[in-house]
Amino acid sequence: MKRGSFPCNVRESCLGQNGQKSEESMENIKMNRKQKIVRFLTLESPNSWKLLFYPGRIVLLLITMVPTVFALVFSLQDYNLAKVASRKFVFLKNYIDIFQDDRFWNSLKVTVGFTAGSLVVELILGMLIAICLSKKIKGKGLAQIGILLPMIITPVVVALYWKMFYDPQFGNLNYFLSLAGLGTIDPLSSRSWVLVGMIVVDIWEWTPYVALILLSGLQALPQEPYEAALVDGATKWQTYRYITLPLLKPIISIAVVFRFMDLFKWMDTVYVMTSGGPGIATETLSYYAYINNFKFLNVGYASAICIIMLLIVLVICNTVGKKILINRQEE
Amino acid sequence: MGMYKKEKVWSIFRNVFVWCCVIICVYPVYWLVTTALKTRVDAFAVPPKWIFTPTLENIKAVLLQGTFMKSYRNSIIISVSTTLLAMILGIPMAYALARFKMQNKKGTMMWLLSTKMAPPILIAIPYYVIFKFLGMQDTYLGLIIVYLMFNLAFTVWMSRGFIEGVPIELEDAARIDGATRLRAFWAVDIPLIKGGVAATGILCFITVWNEFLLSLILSGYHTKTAPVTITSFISFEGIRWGEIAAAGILVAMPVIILGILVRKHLISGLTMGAVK
Repeated sequence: MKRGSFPCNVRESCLGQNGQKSEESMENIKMNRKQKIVRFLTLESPNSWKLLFYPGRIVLLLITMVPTVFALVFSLQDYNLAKVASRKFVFLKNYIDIFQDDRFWNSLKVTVGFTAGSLVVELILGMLIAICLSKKIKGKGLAQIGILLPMIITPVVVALYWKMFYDPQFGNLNYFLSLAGLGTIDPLSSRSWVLVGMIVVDIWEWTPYVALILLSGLQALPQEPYEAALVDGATKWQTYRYITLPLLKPIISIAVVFRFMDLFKWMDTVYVMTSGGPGIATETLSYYAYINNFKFLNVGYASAICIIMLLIVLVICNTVGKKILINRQEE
Repeated sequence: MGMYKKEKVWSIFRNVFVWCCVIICVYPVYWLVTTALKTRVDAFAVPPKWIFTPTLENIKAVLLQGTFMKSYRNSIIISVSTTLLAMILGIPMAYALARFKMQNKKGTMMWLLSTKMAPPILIAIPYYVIFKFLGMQDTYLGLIIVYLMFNLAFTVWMSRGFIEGVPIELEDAARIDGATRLRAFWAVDIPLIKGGVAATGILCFITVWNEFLLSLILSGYHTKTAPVTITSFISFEGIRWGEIAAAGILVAMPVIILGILVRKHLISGLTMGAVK
């Protein structure tokens, strides 16, 4: 399929008479130039895409490349806002320091733990909800609207709500626990519970998203394999295990990639709910970079952490993401 | 008969499970709304008061608070301008990608995608330094530029999908009738993709409206957006849950309404068009 080529281009004829070119008057050439410009502006010329594409591209290039290059340069410098005078190139020193920094490894551990914990539960729970929603449910339209709420509410409002929910004195959590006859807890100030508490927030906020992605996959499944399975007398579990799951694999990976991308840069909720605490128990990579820059004023060090994050994201984006997104778009 | 009964039990289980999930999803909104309507004493009652006399005090207090309303206005200005700019720059780009022959389209699309995937903190730190240098701290323009970066790629990806959904034969037909390509795009494609483009715009708006980190770092006294302002409620207002809840509802209300409005495009939008 040839896009952009127009079958019977009337306007082409006026340009095609190369043979008599020398005979033509200057006026005619001027006409041609004018027509060329008109053709370009009315998108008739094959080069017109430049007109459409370059303004946006240049803007985007400027606003993305400039900060990235700056971050890269900063990361090679001993750049501290508190002592600007001593700003100089130290090359890889920041990166070497990072690899010897226990607090960096802690933040990586927190990020990985948080990402893995949330992702696994969101996938399992999301799958259950998706399967239920693909069947007959009373008031399904309303249910689907209700389920949308967590992911569209402003995340900061969500974090504020959960902070109040977890409040040890007046919060709903301890009230519900007492109804169930359980003791009281204060998840946000206990080192062992805080990560669980934060993961619960993320599960609440984003399981519906995973569920709705999986649901759209379930609804697009072909019918034939199921008919065949029915004929062969497969049990329900076997059908899910050997037909649904394999067929859903591409959609599941989309959910995983998109959730991963968000979880990896996760910070709003930390900022509002715990500020990385208690101690450094919920300090994620983003948050650690943030405090390095704005509390310790060490721009160089913070930039180096960001560059490491970017590298991780780019690697994943260019391998898994490329495979999933581009290939699906081409279908 | 046994099969039938078993199916019935499953059906009941499914309904109960789904509706439990719905209740868990909706409960916080219910709590915020009721807490916003409670007096201070009622808000902190243990056990919680399910029945109470509603008061508009909290909402009034928030509405009368200058800083909050100003930040609300800032949020509107920044979200709307970013969305419009993303549309103006993004739709032509999408049309070029959808209909013209270009080299390395895949690479371009991937590049666009990676601008969306970059961690915001990576962008925030250099912009903080650059804006400080240029004196662009605490300006609308600064925030709009940064938000544009995260939404332009998104607009292009989404609109490209919609434009490709319009059969090229329709455009060709218009052009055989003598319309230029520009006119065909305007008169044929735009009316057909209007709904999708509007949804894309709304999704842009929601993303910008909900964004917190970049605004926290790059905005200042004059340009603070609403999500940043409400986080300061916790420290400044002590434990005035009623006002926090009222402000929270005011901030979340526009996106809840818009989100429900475009719910058909929501998942597709949040996955850059990978899920239809």
